[in-house]
Amino acid sequence: MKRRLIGGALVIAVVIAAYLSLRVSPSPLEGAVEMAVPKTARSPGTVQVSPPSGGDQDEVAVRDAGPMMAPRSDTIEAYLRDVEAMNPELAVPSSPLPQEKEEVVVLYDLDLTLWRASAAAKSVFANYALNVQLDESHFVEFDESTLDILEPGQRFSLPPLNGLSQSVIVKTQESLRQDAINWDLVDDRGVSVGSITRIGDAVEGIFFVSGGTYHLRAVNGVGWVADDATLTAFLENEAKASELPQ
Amino acid sequence: MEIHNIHRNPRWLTGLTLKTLLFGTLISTASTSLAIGITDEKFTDLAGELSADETAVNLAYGQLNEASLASHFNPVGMLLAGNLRCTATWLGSEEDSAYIVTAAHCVYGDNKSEESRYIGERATFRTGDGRILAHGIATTNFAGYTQCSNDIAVVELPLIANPIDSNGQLVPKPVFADQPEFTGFQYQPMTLAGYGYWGTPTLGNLGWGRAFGQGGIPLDFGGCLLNQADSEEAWAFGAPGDSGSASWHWRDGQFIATGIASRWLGWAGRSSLHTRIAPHHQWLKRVYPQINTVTRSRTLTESSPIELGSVERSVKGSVYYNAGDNTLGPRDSQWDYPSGFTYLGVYLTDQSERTSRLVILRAQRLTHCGWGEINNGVYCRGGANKGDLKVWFEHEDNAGLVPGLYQGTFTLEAKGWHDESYQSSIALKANILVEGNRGIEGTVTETKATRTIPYDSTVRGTIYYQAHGSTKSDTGGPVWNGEGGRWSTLDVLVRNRDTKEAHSVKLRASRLASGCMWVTMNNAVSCQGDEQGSYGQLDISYHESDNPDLPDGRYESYFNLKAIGWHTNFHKVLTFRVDVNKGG
Repeated sequence: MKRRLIGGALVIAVVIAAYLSLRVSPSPLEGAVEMAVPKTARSPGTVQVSPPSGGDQDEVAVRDAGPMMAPRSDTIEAYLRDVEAMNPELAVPSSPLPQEKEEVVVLYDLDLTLWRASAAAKSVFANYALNVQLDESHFVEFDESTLDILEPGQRFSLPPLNGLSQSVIVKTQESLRQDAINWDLVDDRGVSVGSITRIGDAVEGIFFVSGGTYHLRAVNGVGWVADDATLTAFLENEAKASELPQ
Repeated sequence: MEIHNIHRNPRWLTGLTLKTLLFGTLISTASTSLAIGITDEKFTDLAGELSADETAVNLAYGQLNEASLASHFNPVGMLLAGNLRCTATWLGSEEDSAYIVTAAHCVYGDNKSEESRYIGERATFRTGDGRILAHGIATTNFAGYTQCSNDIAVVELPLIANPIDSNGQLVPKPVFADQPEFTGFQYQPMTLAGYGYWGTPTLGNLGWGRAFGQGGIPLDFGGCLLNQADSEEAWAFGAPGDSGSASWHWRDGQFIATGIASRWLGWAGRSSLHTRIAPHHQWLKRVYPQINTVTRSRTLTESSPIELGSVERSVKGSVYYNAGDNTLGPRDSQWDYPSGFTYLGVYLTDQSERTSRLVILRAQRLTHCGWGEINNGVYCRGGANKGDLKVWFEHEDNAGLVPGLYQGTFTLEAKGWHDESYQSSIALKANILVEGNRGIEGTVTETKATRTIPYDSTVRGTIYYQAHGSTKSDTGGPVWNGEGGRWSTLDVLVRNRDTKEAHSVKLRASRLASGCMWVTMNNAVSCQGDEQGSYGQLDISYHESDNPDLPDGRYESYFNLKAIGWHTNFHKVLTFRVDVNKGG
């Protein structure tokens, strides 16, 4: 028992001594003020500091994990050999990630039509836009009231794009700045197929389907749907240089 | 149109998992969309064959699509302006607006050929994952578009959501070139990322989508950069749809936008033309004052460090740093476990006195073992692919400095440890405001003037005032006359708190010559009958009308004036603070 007490006292004494030695040591910064010219890092007086605020915490973790300083080498070839030797795990396939428990969710089928083709919509849309070069076949009437009932878990079909119908599931509904509401859409495999966003009197959409990427723009219930190729075609002539600039 | 029935179907239980739903892979999405033309050789290299077969195309461009989604391309997105679809780059967001740069030919304007602004086109900007970032009626700024060298526009749109990275963090503002010299970028790899056609010279158009590519700039046609895909290092060129995309260069750990895709020369031409950004940097700052530039990102202030990214990214082996010729600090190298930091000494000009003073800075280099000394070439497990540099100012290291604005440049030399051919001189700026209250006469703000005590009362006879240090006055040496209602105009060097740039602000300085007459500050006149002690105050004020060219922003500095006796050899330096918020 007595021996145990003495041992405990010794431990406490060592801890107190260490604490006091830290307390009475001049702070590194005091040393910094005294110096006439800046020290280089190699000098014995180099200040030991933690990474500054905002420092990479992962770096600290790595450092704590053990000495991993690379050996000194002076050529690129030696460096590459060292890196290979120090990172054997890079050559070993990583172990598969544990399978997470799957959760089954209930989806709700919804029968709605977001938009329908309307050649007449072009002349109305001209009130809200400049210089519309798209032909009438791209124009649609958009039923904004359908957006009022959209919520995560619902499944419905987009109107045909490039002649193909696409079943989509509302993944998330998110409120954004400008009082905008965005619905992210995925397919039956959970792969993103785009989004619909309502911003004031406008609805913007983007759809990634097998026929390409389609864009939707509607204002006050009228607008157009067109793919990337169509929307870029107007640029092509202008962008293709016939001669080098002056 | 009616609202249709909602069919609840609880039995509809599929193998669909919540995880799949919530975290549907964006990469898969990207693979469905097919922007950059590449050489036949590169296509063959990526796909194993030169073929328009879907498998080969997906193999080649799948890799380029994935590379285009790297985090440094986070600001790159697609712009739908009117019914034109182009590539564009987010410059930054301020309050309720997002600022986006693209090509002038991608957006509508009614006077594009002049420096102008057009309000009225509806536009949407989306980032790489299709996420909507900005939408609404655009305010579009043109630099004066006539040809490739000025095919640049900045679109201001209502902000819907700020861009975030895969960790949910706000994407940092990209860095734009503002240095007039071009030689540093010539023949250096140029990186492209944009949306548009995929294809090769032989195969032609292969599809659509977002892609990454690497080109090279051999020529600058008066501000129009020619990118030619004609080597192993330069194998990509812009194609239709890529218009408006930024082209980028890595330099000293920074990914710098140097061009805007403007034109292409067809599949067989294997070339694209890019508007050089740097000549437009003053215009860019006018339309978006908070733009991040190379100079701004390499300017040190008392509160914002200089941080350069992974300098080792494009170097084989590790990189360490030495002090440059105008900098006190290490000129040797070491190989040791990284710890601590390195002190640097730089001589900066105290603008109040126009005197050079030694300012102490701290600097660190990053390794996989953490931060350490800058001249330490060590790396740690994982390899030499960091080498980030941080330089900062600590007040406690500089307790002896008098309040003032300290300005100057200094350099660090980046050196390859293993690759000795790598050397880069990194020019950095300092714009450090050292604060202090001791001995300050007063502060001039946008709403409040400052007034000294009647210094005449402290001496025999009268006194007058003169500019000192870097401050300039439009009135010269001492005068004695009775011209009242006058003031001197001072030009004072100040620093914009946000952009960190130096500007000159005009202030009015008047001396009270008697109870009813204000004169220029260099006028020592007194009037008979005035009781000594009732005059001689100096009044300094800011007037917005005197500073029409000063951009909106918060400006701070210290400046000195001298009070000098007319009848005696009285001499005193007076220090003032200026803190003006213009447009706030």
